[in-house]
Amino acid sequence: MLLLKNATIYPQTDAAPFVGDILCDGGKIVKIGTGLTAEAETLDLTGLHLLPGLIDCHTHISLQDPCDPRGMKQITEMTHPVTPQFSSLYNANPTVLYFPFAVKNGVTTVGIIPGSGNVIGGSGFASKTWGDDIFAMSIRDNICMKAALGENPKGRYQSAGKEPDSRMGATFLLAEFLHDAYDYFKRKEAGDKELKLNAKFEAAIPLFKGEIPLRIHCTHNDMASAIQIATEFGIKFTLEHAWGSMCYLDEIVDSGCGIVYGPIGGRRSFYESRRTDIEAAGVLDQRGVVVALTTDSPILGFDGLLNEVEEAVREGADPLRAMRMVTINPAKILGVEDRVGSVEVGKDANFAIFNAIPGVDMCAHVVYTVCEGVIAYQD
Amino acid sequence: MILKNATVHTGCGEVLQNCDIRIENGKIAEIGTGLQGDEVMDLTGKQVFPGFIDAGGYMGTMDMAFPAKDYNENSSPSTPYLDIWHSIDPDEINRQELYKAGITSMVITPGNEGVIGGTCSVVKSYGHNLCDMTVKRNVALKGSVIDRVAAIFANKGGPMTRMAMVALLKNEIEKKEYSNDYRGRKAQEVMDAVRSGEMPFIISAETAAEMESVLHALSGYGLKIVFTLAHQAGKVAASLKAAHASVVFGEFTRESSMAIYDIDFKQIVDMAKSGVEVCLSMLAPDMVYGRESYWWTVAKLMKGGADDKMVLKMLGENPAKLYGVADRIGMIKPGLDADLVIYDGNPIKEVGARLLVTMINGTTVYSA
Repeated sequence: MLLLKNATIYPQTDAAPFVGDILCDGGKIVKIGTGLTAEAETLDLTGLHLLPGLIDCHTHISLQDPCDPRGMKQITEMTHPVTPQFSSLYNANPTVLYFPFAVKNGVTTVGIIPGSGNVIGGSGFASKTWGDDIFAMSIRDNICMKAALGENPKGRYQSAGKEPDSRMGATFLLAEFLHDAYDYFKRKEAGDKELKLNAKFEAAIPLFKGEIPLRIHCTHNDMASAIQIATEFGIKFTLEHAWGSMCYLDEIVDSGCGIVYGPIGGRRSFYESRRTDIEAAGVLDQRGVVVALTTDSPILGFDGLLNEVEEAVREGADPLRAMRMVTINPAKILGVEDRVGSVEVGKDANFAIFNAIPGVDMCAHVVYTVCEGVIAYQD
Repeated sequence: MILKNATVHTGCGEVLQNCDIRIENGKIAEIGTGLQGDEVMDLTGKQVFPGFIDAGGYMGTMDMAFPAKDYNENSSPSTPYLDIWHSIDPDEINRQELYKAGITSMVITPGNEGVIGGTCSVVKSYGHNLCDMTVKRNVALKGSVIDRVAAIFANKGGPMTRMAMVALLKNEIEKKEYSNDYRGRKAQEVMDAVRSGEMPFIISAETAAEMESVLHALSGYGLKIVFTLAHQAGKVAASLKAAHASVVFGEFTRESSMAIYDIDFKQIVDMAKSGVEVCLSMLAPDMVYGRESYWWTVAKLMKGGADDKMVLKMLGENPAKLYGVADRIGMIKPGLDADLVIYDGNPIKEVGARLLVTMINGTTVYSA
């Protein structure tokens, strides 16, 4: 048991921040209140600021290991541009240094998803950031289907002289797959005896049943296409990276999609890097869109997640709303909001505890990370 | 023009309350109280800082897309006779909108792929053309000992190892005979300035081992050594201090550098407190990143325990003095260029402090 006393708690529910105590047992939050007592390890957090463990729902950590010369080098099976049947979980390695680095930065849940080299890269999973068994660390497998439009798949296959060789080519492959998979889904539902099993189309069934989102790597260049194709099938979807969202505010709001914004901090150049408009995070949040921020780690380090919260605030977001973009909102996008993302009884006892208010004070940094009721990091 | 009633952070260690600044012909003419003039900007409740300086990168030499690589002359590992000024593209600089991060001047250097790459220029971050933007040329010599040098020259006769890079550096410093032609004279002129200690020698090095190798090989020549990128500088703080070396940090957030290089900002802040002069840039081994990354390093310094006055020096006074342009930029003093940024708070301490106005040479180039 762990008792956290006198923290300023930012619950990420509808409740306002308050000063209180949290009792953790069996890895879960069992009681929240004031003046709590228990026969438990007690940590006085007077003057400190407690958030639920931070979440980055779009990462590629553990799919390759820079410190393992014999490890896997690729995070996407780029031998064919459409590979929905592959699961990131089987490429993952729990020993990468990014996991302890996540804990050090208060990040306790990550989405680990395929890269953007394929138009459809496969499925991802939601993972804890500590442990030595990736299957035990996984808190939900098959959380999404990852898709990518634009420069990444185009560049990969163009250089190999294959399809897709253009942005329209990449977009076509996505539309073609969804159409064919939808036909398959309908025939299967109708009990068509002639239907031959197709692993790629099978992988899309949870999409059409509304169980998982299609998460589309997409910038201003391909945003109109992504929204048009996904809405045609009525599937849940998110726009990943989403640079240039300010150009499509109404379309994004109307489509009901989620936004996973980032990474930012790049140089302005041609192609997808032209627009960095993180002000869109605040604007879309105000308009009811579920917005998460991402480091795309290891592209940015997990230290960058707090820097992105700061940047969202610098560009107009309310600090309390920006906190939601690295807690409850990415939990929703991962479909694990029943377990993580807010401080509520019954949820996993994961916390990021700061010396000052993140997104307000430049000196704010993590001083404790608690993972399932255990102090896993102390500054 | 008169800026009235501001809180003025001079960048020389003072914070002046209810202070006025008179701007004339693009320069700071007078600082005081009760100044009178025709055109007045009321800055009650606002804070004024000297425009910030990006202390070394090659933004402005890449064109808009990636193919133009005008920052590295990859035909030879040692090109001290080259001047980055001839590779600068003002359109690219303007497009980066560095003034939206309060950055009004930048040091443009050759890239990270030449053991000796060429000389550096200081330019304003926005302007009509390169002549207008230039503050000073040949302010430093740029070199590099990172593995990108080896990647380029492994099949071109070397160097392909750090030991060969360091040997090349040492040879160039010890060289006495130059050919009596334009190239030889130009090289000698630059290297003589470096040997005299007048021209800083800014060398890309990421790891502690790279920095220690250079310091060991080049000690005793009286050079002004500056490391850039310098991710692991905190780990070699004592050696840097002993050698009177300075540091121009590259950005830290990309490629999980903080994890890969095991960086501790408390150590870095301790190093700065011990007297090693620090400046900031957006440089990475293979790229120069966007303006946000500049502020992310400021945030990391604050998280590591720096105080805001110390950080302000890193953004203005330190680079201005290092590159010999303290008579033009980096502080708020009479006679200096009126490069000023006006905020509704202190952006070094408060995340939400908004940039309201950026002025370069007394002209508003950005207004929120």
